[in-house]
Amino acid sequence: MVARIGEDPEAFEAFYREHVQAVLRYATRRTRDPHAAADLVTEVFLAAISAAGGYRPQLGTPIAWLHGIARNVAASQERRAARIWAAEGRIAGHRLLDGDDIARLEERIDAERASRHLLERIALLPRRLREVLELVAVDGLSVSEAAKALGISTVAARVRLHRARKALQQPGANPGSAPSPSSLVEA
Amino acid sequence: MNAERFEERLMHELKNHVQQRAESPHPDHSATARPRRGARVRWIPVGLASGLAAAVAGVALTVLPSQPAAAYTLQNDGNDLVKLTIVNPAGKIDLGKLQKDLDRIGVHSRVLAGDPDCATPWGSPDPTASPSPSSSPSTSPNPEPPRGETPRSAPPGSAHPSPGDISLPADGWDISGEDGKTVLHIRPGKIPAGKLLMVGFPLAKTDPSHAYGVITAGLLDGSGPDCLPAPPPGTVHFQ
Repeated sequence: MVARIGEDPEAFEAFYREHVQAVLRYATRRTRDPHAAADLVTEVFLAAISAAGGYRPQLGTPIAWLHGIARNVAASQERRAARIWAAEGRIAGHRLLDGDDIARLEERIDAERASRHLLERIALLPRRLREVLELVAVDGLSVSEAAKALGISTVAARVRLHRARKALQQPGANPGSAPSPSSLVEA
Repeated sequence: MNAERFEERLMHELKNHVQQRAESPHPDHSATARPRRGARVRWIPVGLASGLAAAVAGVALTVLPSQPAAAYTLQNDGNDLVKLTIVNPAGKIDLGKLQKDLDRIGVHSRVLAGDPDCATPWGSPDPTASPSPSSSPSTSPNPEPPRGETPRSAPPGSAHPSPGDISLPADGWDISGEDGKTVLHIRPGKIPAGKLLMVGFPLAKTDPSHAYGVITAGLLDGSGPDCLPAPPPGTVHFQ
């Protein structure tokens, strides 16, 4: 089904309905701005539409694949911000927001502050360790799904996850009042 | 509070976008399409310096003389390094098997054969990565110094040190020559999520006797045409 979402509106709708809340959760954990969150969600789905033709089950579950796309989009969003949607007549997520949406997104953003604290805590970890911990502890992917999203083996993901948790447990590694990463990892 | 308003509106916008793509013969070239990214292709010559050069898409291709038997070997060192070695450019072509082998070994890839009907390449070959016609094909087109100081176990004449010392570009792959053979090094963990490594053999259909004679690679994100152009007839010559 995923491979058709770039050309079949009905297939896309089913895919979107299944995953939009996960993508919205991903976005609200990474920004405090409802408009930026709306744009990120929009970008992720636009990227998924464009990349759908290249999807194959070997790439992992759809949610793992989508998280992989979300990571790429989030990493490049700031860089691409200057391109301005309006200039290309493309879909701008923030333009679709009304007052109720903004208030609702602000509530979600507020509810996700524990996850943002964790993201801030792990921000200083080496990228290879951080990205696994992020997908598992923050986004709730299984280790194998995170491995697929990152394009690495499950064994490698487990090793990195272990190292990440160990690094965070070292005294003085990242002091703060954020939730324990290990408890989130085990959740 | 209308809890679903944004999500619903966005869905309708995106469905319209999908509909427009479906109705466009070249959806990724439409006015509303995303800019093509990740379609960079490096055209790399298979052979070593003695081959003839031919211009294909503005890039020189040098090819090895035909040899009997064998085709490729695929090795996984278990440390996120996969090595595809073309041991015989004239070997029997079986790209389906190569695709299965790459899948099995965990490389997110798509193996493509050159198609004479594919008019639109994925994009221009990366000028920063393509070798100049005069450069040695045995040298990486975009070389990075290995992490190790000195090759420890590389065979004499090898262009690379031992696999564990290989440092690949950020996109996780590189093509080089080793002992007269063309080698595609891949670090599967470096291939960006959501993308596939295209492994292409432009001559596979148009010149099966030299099916592995030319290899190309690049990252595919699904936004470009799903085909690989074959070199125009007469532009590639073999000794």
